[in-house]
Amino acid sequence: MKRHAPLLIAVIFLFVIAPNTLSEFRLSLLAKFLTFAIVALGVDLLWGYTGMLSLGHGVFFGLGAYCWAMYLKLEAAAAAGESMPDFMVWSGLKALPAFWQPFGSPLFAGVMVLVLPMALAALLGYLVCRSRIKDVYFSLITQALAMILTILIVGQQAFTGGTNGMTNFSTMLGMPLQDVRTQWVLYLVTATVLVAVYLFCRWLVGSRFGQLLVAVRDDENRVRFCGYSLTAIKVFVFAVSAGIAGLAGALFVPQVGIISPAMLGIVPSIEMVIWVAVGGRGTLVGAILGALVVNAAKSGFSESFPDTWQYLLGGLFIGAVLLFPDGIIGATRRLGARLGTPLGTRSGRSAPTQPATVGTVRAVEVAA
Amino acid sequence: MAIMPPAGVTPILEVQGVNVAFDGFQVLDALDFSMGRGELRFLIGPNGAGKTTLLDIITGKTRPFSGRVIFNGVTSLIGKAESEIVRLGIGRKFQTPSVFGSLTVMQNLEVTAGFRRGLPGLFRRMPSTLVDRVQATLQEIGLETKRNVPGAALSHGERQWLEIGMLLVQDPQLLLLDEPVAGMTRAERDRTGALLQRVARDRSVLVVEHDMAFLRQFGRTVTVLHMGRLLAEGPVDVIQADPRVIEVYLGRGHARERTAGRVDMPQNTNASAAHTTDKGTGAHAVG
Repeated sequence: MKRHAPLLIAVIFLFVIAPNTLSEFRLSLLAKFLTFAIVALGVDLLWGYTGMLSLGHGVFFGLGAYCWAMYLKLEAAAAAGESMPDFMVWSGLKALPAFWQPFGSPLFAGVMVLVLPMALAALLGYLVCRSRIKDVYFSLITQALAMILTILIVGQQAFTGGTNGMTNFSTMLGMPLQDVRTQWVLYLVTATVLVAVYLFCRWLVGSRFGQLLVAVRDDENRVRFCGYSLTAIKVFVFAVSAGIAGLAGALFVPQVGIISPAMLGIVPSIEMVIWVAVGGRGTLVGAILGALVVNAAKSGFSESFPDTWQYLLGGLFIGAVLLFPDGIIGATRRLGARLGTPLGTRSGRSAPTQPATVGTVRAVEVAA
Repeated sequence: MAIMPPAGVTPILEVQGVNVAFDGFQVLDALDFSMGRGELRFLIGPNGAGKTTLLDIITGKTRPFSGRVIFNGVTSLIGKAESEIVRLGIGRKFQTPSVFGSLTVMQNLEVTAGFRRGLPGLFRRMPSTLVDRVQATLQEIGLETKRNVPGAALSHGERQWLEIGMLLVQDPQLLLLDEPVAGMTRAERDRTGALLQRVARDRSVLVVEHDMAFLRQFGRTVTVLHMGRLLAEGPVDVIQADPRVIEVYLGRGHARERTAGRVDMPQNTNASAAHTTDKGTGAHAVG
């Protein structure tokens, strides 16, 4: 029971305290952060546990977001009596492109939110692993993917909304998105999904498969010579991680009301890694915490110091990484160990910590 | 334990006319090598003789330019993926001990034990046979008291044993061990030797080793490689007296020592330790 206490407190906060105390604005902000926390879980699974640093997770987040945005645009167009979304009219398209048509169905779009990112990740993962590309080269390829998708979306304005992205949604499943109640429902759905994804990841990393992921991080050559197919492991975890990001993207779109290439390119992708680094990679709680803390700081700084907030945020990253190389969770554990409390040993589900030097070097690389 | 016909019926491993060249340098030169079932064979040779490359060929890490590698008299190993070869029953220990540093000793064994059940098997409960085997292996390698210690916190010798344990828990028919006693203390070395002799009772074991004292103490048959070719093969004492072997490998110092009647060669042990540090990160290097 004691082991579940932190989870219980988090659930009470998410479902009881936050919805009843936060203002409408703050709650929608929190909802947005929660979608980021979902992404962070996926990034952590891939990087923190398996040691595969993806610098292109914005792609999978974006794919999920765009799939759901396509559905939202079609519903908005239908409500307005149009046959196609507004930006297509502006671009001079005569008819709705064939690949858009099935996205009128929320079921189809919902399935694609998961399937497209997972399929892309599986394909890329397969090609990359089969060629034995790993470590920094894997990171570079994922980063190139982020760039390619951004360029593709910007270039195909008539089909994608271009640089402006997709916005001006009206309803989702018939519920007006401007309505407070709709946003409230969306918040609760997001919080539920976050808890579900967290529990799923906890189950995954708690299994012997989770140990194998850590084994891949430690010494992938040894894993290969243990008789496991490294490609199968990596493709699986990459696809799962991408699916989680896609899901988060789909939850992000209706709450924030826009998705554009700027939200899935290289910079947002790197930010996703920073959340995990700040929170503490290799721990699921750390990933969630990192996403919440960094985004709260970002939003807090930009409200209070509109001119200098980016410097402050940058300073925070560098400071955090230098002072707490294994993130908030790692720092808390070390503090706990120093004070002699068993705080650090409490969460048996998290991966054993890495040698500090490795964590430091990798974390600094990210910050740089 | 692996079930196999009596020793010597069919060779467990046959290497025929294998050629490997890196950047025009002939590492293995039409090499023929064969090993019987249940044999504990030592493989020696100067640096660059092709010892590690031979292991790379057997385990699928490197593909030969030409030649055949036959396991169990029927199965060709050429072109098979590393993981496939492991599932056929060939386990390999690398020159540098490679265990999973973040996982405990127990987890290291558990994660490797279930390799035949594939990835889905990792989500299911381990069958009692595997649980027993993990337990037995833990005792065999003498790390019961360290079962919950992360791999990274083990001493060098303990890591070597754990890696051997990770092979044993998979119940292979053929074990390939690349310098299992390099960098070990005398006591650790003796313990490892005893372990290898126990292991070789119902398995075939090929040991690449530089440590001549270890070889004399625990070796039976020795194969000497030189410049990618088989130079000599036979019982330890015969090989040690072979003038060609002394010429290319053992050196004059060794001959002096033999006449002086000494059993141990501490300077050779040191040399092998230095050699390991040298290649510390180069488990992939051409051996």
